[in-house]
Amino acid sequence: MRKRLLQTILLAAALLGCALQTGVLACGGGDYTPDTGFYNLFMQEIIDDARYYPFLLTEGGFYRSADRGGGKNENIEEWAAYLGIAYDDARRLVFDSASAALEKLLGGAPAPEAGLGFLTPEFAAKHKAALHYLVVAKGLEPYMSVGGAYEQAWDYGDGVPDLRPASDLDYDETRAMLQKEWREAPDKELKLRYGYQLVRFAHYSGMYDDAVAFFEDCVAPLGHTPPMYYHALSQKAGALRGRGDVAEANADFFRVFAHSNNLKEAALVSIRFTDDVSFQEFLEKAEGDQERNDAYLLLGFTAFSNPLNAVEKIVAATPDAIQAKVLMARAVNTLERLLLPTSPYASPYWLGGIDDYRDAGEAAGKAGRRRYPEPPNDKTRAFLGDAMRLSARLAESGDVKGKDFWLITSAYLHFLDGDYATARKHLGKVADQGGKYRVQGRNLGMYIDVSEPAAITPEVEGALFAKYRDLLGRERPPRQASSPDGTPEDWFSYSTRSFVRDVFANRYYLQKEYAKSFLLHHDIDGLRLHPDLGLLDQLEAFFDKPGKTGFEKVIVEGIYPYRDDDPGRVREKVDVHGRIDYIRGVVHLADADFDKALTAFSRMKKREMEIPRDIFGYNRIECFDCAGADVMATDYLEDFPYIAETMDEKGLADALVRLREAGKKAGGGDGELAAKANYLVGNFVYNTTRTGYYRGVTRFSPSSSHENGAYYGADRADILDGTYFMSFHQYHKNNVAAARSYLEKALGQAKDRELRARIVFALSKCELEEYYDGTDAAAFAGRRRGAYGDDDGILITDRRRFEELAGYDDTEFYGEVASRCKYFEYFINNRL
Amino acid sequence: MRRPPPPLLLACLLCAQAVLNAACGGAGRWGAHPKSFYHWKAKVSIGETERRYFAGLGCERLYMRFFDVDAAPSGGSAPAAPMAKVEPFDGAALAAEYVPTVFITNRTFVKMPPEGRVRLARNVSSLVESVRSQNKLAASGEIHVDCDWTAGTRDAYFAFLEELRAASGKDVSCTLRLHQIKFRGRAGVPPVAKAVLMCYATSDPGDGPGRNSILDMALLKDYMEDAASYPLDFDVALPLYSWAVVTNHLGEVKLVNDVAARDLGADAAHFQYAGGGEYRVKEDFFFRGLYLNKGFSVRVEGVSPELLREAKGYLDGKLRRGYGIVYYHLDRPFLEAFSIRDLE
Repeated sequence: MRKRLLQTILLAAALLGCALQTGVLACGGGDYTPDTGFYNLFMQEIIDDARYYPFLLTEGGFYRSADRGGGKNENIEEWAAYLGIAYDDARRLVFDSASAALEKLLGGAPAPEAGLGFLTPEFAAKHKAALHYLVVAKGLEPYMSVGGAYEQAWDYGDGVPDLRPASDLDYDETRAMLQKEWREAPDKELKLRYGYQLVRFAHYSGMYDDAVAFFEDCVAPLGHTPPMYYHALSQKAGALRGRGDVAEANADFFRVFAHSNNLKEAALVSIRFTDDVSFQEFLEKAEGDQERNDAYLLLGFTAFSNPLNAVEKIVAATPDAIQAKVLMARAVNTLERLLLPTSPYASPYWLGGIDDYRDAGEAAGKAGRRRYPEPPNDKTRAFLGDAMRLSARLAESGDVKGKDFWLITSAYLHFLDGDYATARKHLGKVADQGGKYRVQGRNLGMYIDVSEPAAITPEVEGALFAKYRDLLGRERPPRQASSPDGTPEDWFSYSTRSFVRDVFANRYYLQKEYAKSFLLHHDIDGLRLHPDLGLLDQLEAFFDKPGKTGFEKVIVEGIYPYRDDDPGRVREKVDVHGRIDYIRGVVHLADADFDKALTAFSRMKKREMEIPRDIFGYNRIECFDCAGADVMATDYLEDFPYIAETMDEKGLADALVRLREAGKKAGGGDGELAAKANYLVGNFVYNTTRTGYYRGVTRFSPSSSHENGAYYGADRADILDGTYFMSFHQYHKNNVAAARSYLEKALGQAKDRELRARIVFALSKCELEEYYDGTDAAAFAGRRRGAYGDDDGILITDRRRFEELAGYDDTEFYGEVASRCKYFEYFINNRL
Repeated sequence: MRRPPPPLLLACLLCAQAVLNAACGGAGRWGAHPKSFYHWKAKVSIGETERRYFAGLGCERLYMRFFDVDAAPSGGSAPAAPMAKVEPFDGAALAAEYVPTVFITNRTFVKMPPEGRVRLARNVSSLVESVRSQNKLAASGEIHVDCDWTAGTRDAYFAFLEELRAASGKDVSCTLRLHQIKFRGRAGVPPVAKAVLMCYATSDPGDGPGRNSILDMALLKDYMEDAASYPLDFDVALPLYSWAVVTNHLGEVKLVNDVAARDLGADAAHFQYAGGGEYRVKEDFFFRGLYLNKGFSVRVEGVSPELLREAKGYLDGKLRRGYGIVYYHLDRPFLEAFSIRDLE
């Protein structure tokens, strides 16, 4: 029993420690940043009370504010007040000074090292007892932790766990020492602190009854409740938990939550970990507005609860309570996560609960061209409506003194709802024009201005560009110092900027201005992931367009890719036409349209590729990460002298055109040559498909190893699927059919059996790939691709080309294949 | 090719079968299915009702969850540790063979190295023994493991089962879930002599109303299409439990265990019937420790005697062999929804 609760406490402590250290990032593992995935436009910190920032909505632990204004250490503040010194001096004294130095000081020595110069002998004499306390405290500090629980985990039984290192101290000796000090302490403050040490020590030593008794005897009767009182109370609550008094412990943790600034999170974690919390008791026992409202805050704080219900209850009695604002900010943030996802077609909500990404892609395609941001759906309409009505009501209520929060919240919610008129109306009424309100107000005005127009006509575009030139006219946010009123500027935050750009991109997409939509997120090289000839033409047309508008001049800059080496993210002014022709040429190559490829490549001024001639060969081994010389074998190349040792893309296209022509001649002496030519072309096409060694050539990858490029399925061939071009699916045509076609032609012409064996083997590889692709429906009808337990199907039955190849066992090539191709070997040994 | 039996012999056989049926009173063609129970709570409270049902059904074995095992997702820093150990109890409260049952989360096995498996097997074995001896239970020859493994953790989990057998010297049995029967190629067949197929949890309660996520016959039949050819003999586990499915203002779902439909109907102050088995919450309040807000909707899912009968009839026809039935689980509020006869 105790162990389980203790583990709970430890888990809580670990969680807390984690949350405190890593900030917004969640603990334990890598790159997960919980508050991405939505635009996060509403500044929750507009509640403007640093005590409650930790309780704003975030996914990973407690909310971490960049504004650390409210983050003073209460313990140090208490010392500063007690000793009559500055906060920073107190901090150095308590945290930085060495115990030995303090002892020397007490012995009459002069002030120790710099930074502690105020510790004069006079000061020491005046605050002798306090300094003595600090020596004692520093002595105990290394032992004040709980440890060792995991080692005990595989035990069963009821013994008190070994709580090293607190138990490294002799319990009775230490207790007696502290009790003596407590008795001899000259005032309440120091008695309180010794009492705290007693409670904590007993708690960490597992002496829970003692810990509770020490609180009741040494702390409570003092009637002195500065922050350290709540630290002691927190320890007592931990001891109550340890001995199983869960309800009492919760009541104490709650009190700590309500009254301590530094311990709010720790207390909340402790409460949240319990199984049967009775918040009802908190409410009934709550003393005063602060405690009652904090109880409601805790009620509305859990992810499952509806925070608006708690807001209603709070404002019924105290309309300006900060807790109501915290809960409303959380509600707004929740709505943002649902209504403003950054990847709409990856969001299950947006597609009505579709979780599988494959289905999401399909559904997004069907969803077609949607206007962003989308209005609320069934799941959110009610909640958004309730939030809007509540904040609007409070914004207009005579009982509420601080209306600005509710006005700006209401404005923002109406913006989310698409009711721009009401949003503007409430925004216009916000009185406070400084600090966070100024920033949030200006941003919100921009979101409305950009989202509202039905279409971005040239007039609208011009007006918006003129008004928001600062943001739209540049790529990266300027570094902004604090504004004159001391608030860090948020004007150009990443999320603001992305949202605005994304809305423009969406509108251009809907208006079929695809080049502009594309370039708001991608440069010309981006199209290599999904080379689309239609879009290429449009990009070229836009690039060459004379008389561009102001915004268009900015957008077209996006066509230039970033330099790899420049950390300043400067764009490189590449030859755009050359880049476009390169992509065109490669697309034509993949289409086996060699003439068009040659035309496109011929226009390029700069060479891009260097291709060895064994691209016309075949695999001796399958190894994408090995060197070409080890992998590929070639035949018949000497018969075609225009195939150079290495070729650039133009030379390659040229060679392919000639080979194709050579392949057309039939009969007489040229028949065999034609067959070889077609065989080589077939090899080339196959080698540049997805499972070919030279697949990188048609996928803009420098090499074909597994690290480069994506070689997965042709998910969506149509690049125009989806909401807009923020992200699009990769696609490269996998032209196995063309490879097969050339090889079949070759087979029809070839007489030499060694050549025929090679062709049949090449055809068997095409057969396999068409099976993977699911394109050869006739052959593999009724069999699900990749169905488990289906291995024999693909390796033995339906392997028509293997069957055919088996007939070439009189050739030398057969011997090579039978030993090196494991699939064929399996086929030969196991076929029925 | 065998000749069909002569008509007279056939008639005699059928007659005998009918007599057998009548005598066993609904025991089915394949004989009475021996019954047993799972016990899944951390705090053991076996009372009169539990004893009555257990004895009334002729049960001999109780699969008692001794503890869970979980590992934090990041693996390295938080190794596999036991959780929710069953609290000390009086073994004499129930005359049964207590079969130690251990629930292990799937993520425990994610990226678990071979030494981790060996260590875990030893730890599990010794903690099982420790629980047994401290509660003065007679030794069982079996350890039962419950884990919803996936294709990714399959190898580690199967190896663990073998290690556990070696470490404990006992027979190791494990649970099967419906998707593991249907997709046996991907899931693999665990290296155990015996398994228990959980014939419940046919869908996710979060899928919304309209389907009983605990046991939906259509889904059960779909999963079990090829069950008869599964290469392992398994007993079947059948559900007796019910729960409340709470849907909040955002369509999110939480479950409240141990709730029966009558619990909602009886609380008119808080629940308004909205038709179709759904209730609306009338005002904010705490329901079994979960805070419900006004406007939330709640429905109860459970298993009725009729549904149980239908499931059993289907399984009989499907499996056509002897098997045991293990009821999930031994707890008074669930038992009381059925008569002993319902469970026979």
